[in-house]
Amino acid sequence: MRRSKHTVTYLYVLFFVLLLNFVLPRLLPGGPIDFLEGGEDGPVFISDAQKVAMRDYYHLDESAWMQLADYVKGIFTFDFGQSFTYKMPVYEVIMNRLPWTLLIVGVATVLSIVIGIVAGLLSAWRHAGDHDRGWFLSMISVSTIPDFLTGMLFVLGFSVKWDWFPLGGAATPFYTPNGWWDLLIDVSWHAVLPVVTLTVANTASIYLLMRNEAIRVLREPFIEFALAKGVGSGTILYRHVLRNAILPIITMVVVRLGGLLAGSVLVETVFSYPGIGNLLQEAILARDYPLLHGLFVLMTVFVLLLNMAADRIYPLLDPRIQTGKQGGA
Amino acid sequence: MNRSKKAGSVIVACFVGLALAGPLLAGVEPFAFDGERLLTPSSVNWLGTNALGQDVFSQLSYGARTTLLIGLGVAVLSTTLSGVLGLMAGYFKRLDPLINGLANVLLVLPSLLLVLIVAAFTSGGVWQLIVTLGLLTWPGYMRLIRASVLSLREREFVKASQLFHGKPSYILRKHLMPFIVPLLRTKFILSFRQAVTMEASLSFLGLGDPNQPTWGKMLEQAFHQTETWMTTAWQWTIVPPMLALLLVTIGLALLSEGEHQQGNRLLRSYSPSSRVKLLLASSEIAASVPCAHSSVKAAEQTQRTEHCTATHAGSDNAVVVHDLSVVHNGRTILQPMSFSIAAGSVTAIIGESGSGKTTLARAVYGLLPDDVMSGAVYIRSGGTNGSSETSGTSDTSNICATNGSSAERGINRWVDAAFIVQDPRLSFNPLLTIGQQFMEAMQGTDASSITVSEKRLAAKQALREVQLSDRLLDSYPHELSGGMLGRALLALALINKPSLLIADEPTGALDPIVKWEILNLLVTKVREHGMTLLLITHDHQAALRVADDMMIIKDGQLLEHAPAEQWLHHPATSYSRELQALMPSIRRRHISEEFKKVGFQHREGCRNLKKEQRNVGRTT
Repeated sequence: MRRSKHTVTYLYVLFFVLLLNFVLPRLLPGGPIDFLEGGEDGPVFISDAQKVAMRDYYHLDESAWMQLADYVKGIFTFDFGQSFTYKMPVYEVIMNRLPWTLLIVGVATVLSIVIGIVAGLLSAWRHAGDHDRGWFLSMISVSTIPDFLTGMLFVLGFSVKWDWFPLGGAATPFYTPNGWWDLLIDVSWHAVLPVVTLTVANTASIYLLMRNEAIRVLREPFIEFALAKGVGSGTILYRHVLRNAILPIITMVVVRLGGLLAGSVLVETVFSYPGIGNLLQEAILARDYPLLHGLFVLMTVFVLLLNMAADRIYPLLDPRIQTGKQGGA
Repeated sequence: MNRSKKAGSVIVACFVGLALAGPLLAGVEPFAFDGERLLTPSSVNWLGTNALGQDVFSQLSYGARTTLLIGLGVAVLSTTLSGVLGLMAGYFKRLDPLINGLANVLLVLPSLLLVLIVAAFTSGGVWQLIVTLGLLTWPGYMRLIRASVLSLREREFVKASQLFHGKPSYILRKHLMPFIVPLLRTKFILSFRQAVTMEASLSFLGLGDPNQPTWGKMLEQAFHQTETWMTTAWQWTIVPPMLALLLVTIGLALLSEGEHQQGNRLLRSYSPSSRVKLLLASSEIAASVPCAHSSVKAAEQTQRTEHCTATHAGSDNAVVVHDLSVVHNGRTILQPMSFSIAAGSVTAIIGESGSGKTTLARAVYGLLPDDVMSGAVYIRSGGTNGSSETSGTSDTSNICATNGSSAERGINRWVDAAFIVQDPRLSFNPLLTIGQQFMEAMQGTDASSITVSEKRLAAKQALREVQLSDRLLDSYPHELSGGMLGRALLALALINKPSLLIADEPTGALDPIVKWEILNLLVTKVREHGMTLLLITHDHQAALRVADDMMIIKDGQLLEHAPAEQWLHHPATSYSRELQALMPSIRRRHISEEFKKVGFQHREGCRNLKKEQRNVGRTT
């Protein structure tokens, strides 16, 4: 029941995004081509060949229903058309960039989840003092800072002032590394600041969630009972508090992961990191509609998959749901 | 208003001041190319000029205006939508699926992604951004408001108003709005902050309104100028808008979070309290009596009352409490009290809710932090090696040996004593099997060499002892009924054979039949194992039926401590008489008869002296 309800929601979301992608460019005054030519911000110049490509892409000479049919067909065959700027199939362009984003977002995700949960747990454990209050307020402050600002601060500090890390990019250009080891060092060197920025931006919110949840669990009678049983603090924190507090956190963390993916747009722009976030920014500025379409569909599907994964993981961790299902209740 | 909230308000006030007054002071248009490029700050250009020769201060102050406009616009629109839709979804059942479904769809996608989709296909203008953000960010708080209305709708005052044919609009406005306002206030500040961040982010990506000076745009322009990084220009082109953004977002966060009050401190210590110590096998209560003077007899002569407790600590007393008092936040929860409890007896602690019974129990078990508790508690050691069967002679032989090394040894939780609380359903961790929770309790025993399979065997044995199937070890608590959990809890309490069992209303949350069953089992098992039971209860009749001694507590004061029979027939205080008057007379007679049948063999030894001791406890 619960799951099917969620699935319906996800289908609606997918439908909604696809519809937006279909309708918005066609709703623009005079259609996408006129809009681009007469656009207020002049820098976008399109050649006749591009116009043809665009007309071709949108099938503007066909009826609305045929356009819709082609559009839907394209989605199911992963055929998002040819990118205007890269002159390559959208699918390939995205696939070239995707690994970089997955690298920094993946590492930042793991780091922020681990740090956020441990810090939140310890902070809840020490809930009593003013010490925790200061920590709490500073975390709230950090969680509100837009991530591109954090990124800029890091660039200012570590790249401009002290020159410890590269200003941007994912690898040193025109650099031929001696073997995979040098390559690895070069890549990780470039990834440090983006990863740290994403981690900082995400850790604070996970910390706050975890802290609240752990404080709630610590007030449960079974914690007092475990204490009365003489269970050590380490075991209490790990087996009793963490396991119970993490259940509601999982869904929220996963939803935030989707946000992290979208948030990579900003961080990658700050560090000119060649991931799909940076690609998205370029595509929006250049009005590369096929590429935009592909990116939006990809990100939406990614977010939906994450949500579905969270729905699946939850019952695995909570025995109460599992047995309820087996019993047919 | 606390400090963080004050700081937040000051920052936000400065920001509003800059937005309102700044442009009047600036004198230069933000987009006018009047100055030289990248001038350093001076009396003409307060914050210097950027790479295009535009005045930075002018841009900063006009940018504050744009930020304020966008923040206010989005906050008003989004908060209104949240409030109106939340009230409607909560109050009108028909609209609920539609509104809630829409909210769910919007909540799945991160709002940045949605805004980017819209921004990608449209030209980014200020008003367009306000509308987009306003329309996309209402669902989170809408759901909170909806949930709150759903519960308020069932409340009496709303029902009453409906009976008097109050119009929905009237009820919503007059009865529900007051509850929603705090939520809306938080939502307003949150939306404001989100809008500021989102606008800056979009401008930074180059998707903002090209005709409006904004902080994000200043950052974007400066960021993409190579000169910014080559020279010191970043100090006045990047730092001012960056600081402005940082301060405004943090200020808004402090403003909304400042309302959160620190929760009450939990009175709980994670490690056993140092004021709760083991009663040494043979003797002293306080370490003040040096071991060298093991002429216990001499001490007896001088301190008659105390020495009785002392001499019988080894053989007869399971708990000795000395001047125990609990003070928290300047409020006295427990008045100083001293008493001792004979080994193998059942003592019932009776009192109204809030009289301090539970605090007393927790203090005796050492669950309270040291700083709220004063006095001392001594508990006889338990477990398989320190059980009450130890002979008196061996006790005396090792007085000094034990005294030297472990005179101040704290109790070993669950081995020397065990503590079970009200609701068995809440006492078990829902995510661990019963077996896992048994294993945990067995880790504290001295014999740490026992293997997992041995522990499992012991756990099975314990379950069988309370007539439960040993297959339950692999079950989760939610699969068992309240009565079964009550039995399991009992088995768990008996597993290490502690000398003392403290039961804080062990049957309080169970239905009447199960209640009796569990209580009887509890007392039977305690007597069977020669354990001491400290039973805290509301139920006077149950207490009279099972207890040897009664302790009456009122307002944190120990009023009476007497054998049950004596208390019943000759209550010493008027409060006790009041309590007894509340009991149905039939039950009373029945209980008295039962008392005649039951012998009081357990407590012959030191009865008279103990009474004296109680009197001392009462007067202190």
